[in-house]
Amino acid sequence: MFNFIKRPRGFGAWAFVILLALHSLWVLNHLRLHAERSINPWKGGGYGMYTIPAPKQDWIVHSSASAEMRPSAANRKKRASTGFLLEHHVLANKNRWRRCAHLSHSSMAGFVQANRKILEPYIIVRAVESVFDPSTRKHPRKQIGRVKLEVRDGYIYYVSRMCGEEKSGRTPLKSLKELEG
Amino acid sequence: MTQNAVASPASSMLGSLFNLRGSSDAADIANMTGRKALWLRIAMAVAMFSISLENNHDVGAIFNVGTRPLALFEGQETFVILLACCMCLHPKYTRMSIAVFAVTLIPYAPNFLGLANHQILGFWCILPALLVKDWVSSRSYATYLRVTFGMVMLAAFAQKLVAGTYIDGSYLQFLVTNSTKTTARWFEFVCSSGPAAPCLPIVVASNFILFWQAIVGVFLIIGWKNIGVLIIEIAFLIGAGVFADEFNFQVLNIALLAIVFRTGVPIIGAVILVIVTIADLWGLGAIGTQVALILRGAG
Repeated sequence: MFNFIKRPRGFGAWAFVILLALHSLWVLNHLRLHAERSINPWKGGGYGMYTIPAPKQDWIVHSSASAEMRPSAANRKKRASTGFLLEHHVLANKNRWRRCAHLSHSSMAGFVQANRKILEPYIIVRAVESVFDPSTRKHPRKQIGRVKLEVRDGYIYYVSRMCGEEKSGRTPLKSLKELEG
Repeated sequence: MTQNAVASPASSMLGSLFNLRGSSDAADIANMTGRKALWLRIAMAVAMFSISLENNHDVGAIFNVGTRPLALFEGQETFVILLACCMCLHPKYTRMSIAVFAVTLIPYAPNFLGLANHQILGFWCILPALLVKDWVSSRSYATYLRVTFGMVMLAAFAQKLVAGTYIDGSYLQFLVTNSTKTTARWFEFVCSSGPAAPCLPIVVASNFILFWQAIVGVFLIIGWKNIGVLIIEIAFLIGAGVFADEFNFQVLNIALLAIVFRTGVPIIGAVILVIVTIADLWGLGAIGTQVALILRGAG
């Protein structure tokens, strides 16, 4: 039944045993993270898919120029065609699996580059989550985080607050080419 | 481990589609040659193909190359995976095809856990084939796949059990009455109690799904490769695919299970699975709606 586990022979068999051990550890960790509500259970391997209605996380951009604006679909498509982190981490947020993770420096840099026109003098991005409420049968939107971004002297200064945890710092402002490279 | 042939008409159809009767036992696993080996390579190629279209959601962009020639090169990994699929079919290049397939992971590796779930499962299951000289005849690789699938099934069972949404049927009820997927709403007729509380058929179906996952998980881990279980599992996957209107994951599962059970996928099975994967770009619901419109127009 588990011949290669009982008597692993050769590099391949040992590697399979190690991969299975790592996988089982990840499965247990995923269950723990789901219980702690720190991940989207639909992501990270799919064990929690179709277990609860998929929580949808989105980002809403506020700037001094407009009360509330979201990057247009055309903009999102343009970003996607560059194969660039922004699409995945910030706008569509398709690949974000850690609910409360702070934005990475590359995501912030990409976001700033793609939204320079609305970045005057600073920008606030709100992370919101919609989860199905069975009693009202609606998907109410709840804010779970907020990031303030400001560009000064070739740097992006940020103050990020996600699920109550605050983090601040700065990251160099990179060009689109540098980000893609 | 011997496998039982099942004689019902349904199993006979599936049997001819997936070569169930001709499946191997442990004795010939180390001497995999000829047609059976080809069908195993086809299964692997289908598994890789099921991932190839993941990053091409804009169907128009893929096919409307007349107006936007560069659109063809968006999501270039599709073409690399297609190359890997072709290479996989040839015994000489089948191992190299896994390496070519591995290349497509490079841009996504930093955010591996953020990838689509069937990409994660696909890479996790397919790439280790590189660790052995000949994955087609490797008992270790087949066992690795089998135990991995068993673990995934048990993990899905544990998540559902902890959430409690399958014991009371509330999640299935949510899907039937609130899902945006047209195909899930095809099942609204099952429950006349309305959206408030799950009715008995929903609760029964929900619990069947829950415990079936656990049973299959245990069977796979202990290595009880019964053909009847494979047939029910494939029917289950197809049912889930229709219900959720998502087939690429199911195609991956079916193809990899065909490797686990050493049945492989014959050419006709591969053609069907490839068509289903391509149709999944639009979704069954959208295709059904279009067909209904055409039929109504013709009427």
